[in-house]
Amino acid sequence: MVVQILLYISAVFALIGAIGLFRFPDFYTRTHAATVITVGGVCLALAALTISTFWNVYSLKSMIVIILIFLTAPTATHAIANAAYKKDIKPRMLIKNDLEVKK
Amino acid sequence: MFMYIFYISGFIVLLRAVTGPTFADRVIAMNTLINILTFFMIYHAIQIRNELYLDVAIVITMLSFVGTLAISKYIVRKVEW
Repeated sequence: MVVQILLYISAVFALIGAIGLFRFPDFYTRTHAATVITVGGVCLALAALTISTFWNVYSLKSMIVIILIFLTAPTATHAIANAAYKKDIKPRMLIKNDLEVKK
Repeated sequence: MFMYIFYISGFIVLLRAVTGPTFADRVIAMNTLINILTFFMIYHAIQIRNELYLDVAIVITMLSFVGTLAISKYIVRKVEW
């Protein structure tokens, strides 16, 4: 029962994140929607699968995948946002840029 | 029933990866799609009682991280030269 409820909640999170990833106007806001899919969708669903088969080799490796995603997803998003800023992808409706180098 | 919602969300993410205006949208969308595919793989492994797909899921997660870092470092260095 708990597993089914967690799986449905994670499916709703994944759908909301996908709609946000498709509808947001800017790259730096789309990273937010991608994080919603990764953490609220995939990690919650993997936690539900971990609860459903406890204690097993399946639950152990599901926990390993959860820890890996929690470690790697913010780092990858930060690296690609850094590359996008270096490639001059500006945010939409930008008024003042504090990171700009003064001449 | 919830798997169909995951299928629909993965299809929308794939649509963003196809029609992304810049490179960074494509990289973010593919990284998210690989994470969703990792969940599909573990769910399938539990359904059919096969332990082989779990190791494949761990390796795919690490490879998507390394690929994203490689693309971002390549683009930054290409700009700075």
